[in-house]
Amino acid sequence: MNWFSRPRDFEKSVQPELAVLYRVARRLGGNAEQAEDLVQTTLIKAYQAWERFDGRHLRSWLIRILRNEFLMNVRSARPELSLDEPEAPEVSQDPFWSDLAWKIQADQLLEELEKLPETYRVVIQLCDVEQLSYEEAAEAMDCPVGTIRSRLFRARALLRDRLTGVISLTEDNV
Amino acid sequence: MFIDWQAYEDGSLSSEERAQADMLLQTDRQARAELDGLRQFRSAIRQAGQAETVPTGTLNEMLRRAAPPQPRSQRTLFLTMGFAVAAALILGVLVGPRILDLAQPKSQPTSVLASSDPQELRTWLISNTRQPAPLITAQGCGARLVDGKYGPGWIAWDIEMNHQKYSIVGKKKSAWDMSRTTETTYEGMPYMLKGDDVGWECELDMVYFVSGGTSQGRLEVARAARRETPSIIRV
Repeated sequence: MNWFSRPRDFEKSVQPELAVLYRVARRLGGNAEQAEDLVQTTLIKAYQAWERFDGRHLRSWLIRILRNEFLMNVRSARPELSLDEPEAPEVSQDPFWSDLAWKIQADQLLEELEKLPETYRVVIQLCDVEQLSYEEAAEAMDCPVGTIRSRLFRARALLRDRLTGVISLTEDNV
Repeated sequence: MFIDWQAYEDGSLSSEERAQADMLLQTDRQARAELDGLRQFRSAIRQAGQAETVPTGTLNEMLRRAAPPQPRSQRTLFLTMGFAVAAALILGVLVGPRILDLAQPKSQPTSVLASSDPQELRTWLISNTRQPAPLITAQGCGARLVDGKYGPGWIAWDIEMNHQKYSIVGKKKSAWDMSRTTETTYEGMPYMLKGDDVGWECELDMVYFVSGGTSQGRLEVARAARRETPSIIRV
């Protein structure tokens, strides 16, 4: 990549991804200001690493940087916090997608989504909101495709259960 | 019969399972309702998620700051460098004798001004110390200025980046103990390492060191602040 064309290419390539980065940053947690800070750090890191980007799955590459930054911040701010996979919450096994009244307001959906553990709300954000493929989401989350598939299954079921009130979890035990 | 409709939507059912699911969809109203429900769920969550407010202007500005402008032409660069050299010579004559009498080690600050406005901090430092000070904005690495301070023989800025605090301290090179400094390069530029601190040398025989925060953070702060320290000659 020609260094002289690097800034323009970077700006042009990354600009369409800004909204996605911001939304994923919000979903990772924190308020609007923290999300902006996270995106800003991500952009600086991405620019520094731009020459090493292989040109595949830009969105996944950027989200991966963003998530790594987030995890670094979490580790430094709260070293006692475990970043391991959360224990899988129990979800209903019965198929009842049709039971839900899909007239739920957008803010209700987001409110319940926010209550899921980070791993689950991010996988929904990536696969259902941003519509990344399993392969792209796996790259962004740095995990196997099979893990994305199972997390997504559980995340949707958990959200569905919340929305239908089949199980009532408090914020404390999620 | 249990059908995993998410797997059906994802295309991860075996061909046999998919055939069974397709057959069920043709004959069973409840199965169709299940699949429709799942599709509506995905559609609803997508619409809700994408409807969130995004500060587009702020993000675009961040992007512009993250990718600095392209290098200037050779001619412009030559003229700028010529002007900078001339300015440095003139300033060396005019203000050289009273430039930063920084012979003392860092001590308790004489005064501190809490502000995130780089221009305000710079004006304050200059008017109080009667000495030139660079305009450190610390924005190049996504940081935020917290305060400026000075003491006998030193000036400093405290900044915050990613919830970490960093200090940038400037003194005359002769005022630092350089005996245990080693050299390194970052992004193609030379830096000095003094313990955990990262430093660099600039005009007027000044040396700055960044301390605090994380090792990667110190490098980033040093890289951003280094670009701004040459402005000391423009006082």
